[in-house]
Amino acid sequence: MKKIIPIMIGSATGLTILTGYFFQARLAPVLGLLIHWGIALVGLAGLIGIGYLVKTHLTRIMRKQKGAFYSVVVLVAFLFTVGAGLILSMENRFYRDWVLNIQIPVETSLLAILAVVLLSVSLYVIRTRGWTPMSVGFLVSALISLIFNLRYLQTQPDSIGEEALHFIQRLPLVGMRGILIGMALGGLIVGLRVLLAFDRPYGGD
Amino acid sequence: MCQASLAGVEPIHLTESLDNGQDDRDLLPQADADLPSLLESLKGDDDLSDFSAHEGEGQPSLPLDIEALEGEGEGEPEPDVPEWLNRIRQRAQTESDSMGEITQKITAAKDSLGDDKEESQRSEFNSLIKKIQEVDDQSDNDHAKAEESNESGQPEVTDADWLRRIRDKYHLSPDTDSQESLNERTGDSLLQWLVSLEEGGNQIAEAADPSKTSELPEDTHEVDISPAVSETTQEIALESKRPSKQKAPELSVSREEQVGADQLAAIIIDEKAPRPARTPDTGFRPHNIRFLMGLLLTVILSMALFLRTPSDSLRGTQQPNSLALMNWAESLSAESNLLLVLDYQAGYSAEIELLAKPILMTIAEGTREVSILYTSPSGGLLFHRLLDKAGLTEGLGVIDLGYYPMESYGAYGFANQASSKWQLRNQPEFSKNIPTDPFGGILILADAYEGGVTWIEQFSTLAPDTPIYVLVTAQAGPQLTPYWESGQIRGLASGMPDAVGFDNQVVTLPSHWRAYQAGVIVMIIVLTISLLFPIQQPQQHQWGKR
Repeated sequence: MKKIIPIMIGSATGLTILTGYFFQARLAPVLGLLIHWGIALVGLAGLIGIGYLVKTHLTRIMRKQKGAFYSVVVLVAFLFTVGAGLILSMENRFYRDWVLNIQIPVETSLLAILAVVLLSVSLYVIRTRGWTPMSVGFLVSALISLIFNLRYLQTQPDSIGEEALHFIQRLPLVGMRGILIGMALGGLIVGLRVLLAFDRPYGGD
Repeated sequence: MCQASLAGVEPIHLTESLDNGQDDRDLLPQADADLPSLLESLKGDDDLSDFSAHEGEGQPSLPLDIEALEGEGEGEPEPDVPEWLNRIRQRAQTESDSMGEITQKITAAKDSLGDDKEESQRSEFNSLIKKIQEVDDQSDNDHAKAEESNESGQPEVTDADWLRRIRDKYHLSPDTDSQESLNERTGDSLLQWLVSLEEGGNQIAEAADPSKTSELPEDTHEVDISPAVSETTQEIALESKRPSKQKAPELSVSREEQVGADQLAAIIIDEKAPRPARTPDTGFRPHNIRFLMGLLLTVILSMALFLRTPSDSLRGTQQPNSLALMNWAESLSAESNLLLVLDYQAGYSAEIELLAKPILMTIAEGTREVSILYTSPSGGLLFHRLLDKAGLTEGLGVIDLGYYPMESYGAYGFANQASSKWQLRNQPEFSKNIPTDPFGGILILADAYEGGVTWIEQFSTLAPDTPIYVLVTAQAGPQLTPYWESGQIRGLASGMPDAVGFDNQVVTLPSHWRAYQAGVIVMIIVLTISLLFPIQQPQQHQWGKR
């Protein structure tokens, strides 16, 4: 019984959502209710995560563990942001700068590090993978894409050069379309397996 | 030894000399000077051996025994006896200490030695009898246990021929040996088994070597004769352990134990195997490469950003998908509603803002209303920052529809709610005021393919009449281009080139574009170097760090 109930709920919900695509006008309120339940659950999970984070840092501070000072900084910043968000609106310039002037540099720095690492790793591609068609093809296609992105290559309209350039530019699109079709088929199969309870990501095993 | 009798010898009164307090031997005349040699002969080795010989018979042990001397004198006529001997006989009859001090000490020592030896022999005999009885009892018990185990169906252990011969030779009981061997096996671990196997192998090698076997002492000899009880016990214990070690190869090893032992032996051998000394890596280290790349990019991009150069015209470089987006923004009527979906993180805000700013400025030229919803907690803040940068804080009406934590939930739920024609009774109000009129267009700002494609698929299915336009980062542009070619979206702009194309019409971005080109050129150079001169990747795994 413990296995059957989750399977029935999961399959019924999935079929209802799927039916909503075909009978949208009739099922829209029910679907909206289900969707908002899901959104509420996700929001609750976020609150639980915040509570766990606060508890972890509080424990570290109480036990005076290593890095307790950083936990103090985190908690003070968190409480201040929550308090300011309750009082100030998002149009407030101080509150916006307080949040974004910390968040944007941190995330941008991570992206910059990623760019540097990718650039340095590209030096090892051939040595690591060898002179294989895949490694050479990867590097050559990356080179061509970068050169096209410079927008330096200009061709005369209705010329052979334009046709050749157009062909090369369409190669990534062709590959991407094949990838998208494969992903769509995979998603369809996974959806059917979940609906027919072959796969149970919601539990039940 | 002098066996002459003292009978018939006349005693001499020596009262005067005794009264003077001197030893009688000192008063002997000089003619009797051979008396010390006689006393010396009394202390000889022959006398001592005679002591031992007479002990078992209970005969008088001293050669100067009075009774023996008298007995001998009564039966036989005595030959001529010297005078000194008669004096000695006379003294022996009348004085108790006539034998002298030295002779008395010898006699006392021999008496005590005889008593101790009798006691030790008695105790040794008793302990040996006890051991024999214990061994007999134990062998009986073992034999009974063996019979029980045989009756219970356990297979009988057959001894090897060599072991049987050894037992026959030394009259050993196999039950005793097997019991001792089992006692030694109790609590064996795999390592202990290996150690015992190794010892057993050594024992077998020693036993097979006749030269070493001949050096072993005779067991029976050491058991039967031993001077003390403690030594006897020690010899028996050593003898009982020796055959149990030789039985180590008889251990029955299961397949799993054998596999484990083989693995352990392989590990031990592998640890002791000689390895070539690791030379320090002389190649480029990863952190050095990364440092050089970071420094190179920083210097070049900074120079490109801060050096003022004349702006180039990029008007002819715009792609059709971005041109379609700009045309839609320009042709949007003043009364139409616009839904703006913010699905990007703060780290991508710089790139998205470059793309969205010219579009929003174009849209805001008329008095229009914009509804926004976002899938990141800071989406509202990012939108107001975008308005700030575009200078549109006053000219654009904004309806905040709130935060949707997941793209799929948000897209599906919002599209359904927006297209719903009837409501459930007492349905709670989850969302804010959604415009009743259909949207004139949906503009999606996404930083990744996954987020953008979710909104595109849901909206194009549930609201097919509403035109969808997408502004994405450069990484997601090529993946979403097929949706533009298939007509699911009406316009698409991505990355710096499209942003510069918009900017060329609205504002100028020469420094950004030049920095972008410089960065791309650096990447082209690095890729070319990696193709032509591949660098060997250094070994990152050290033996100690594994």
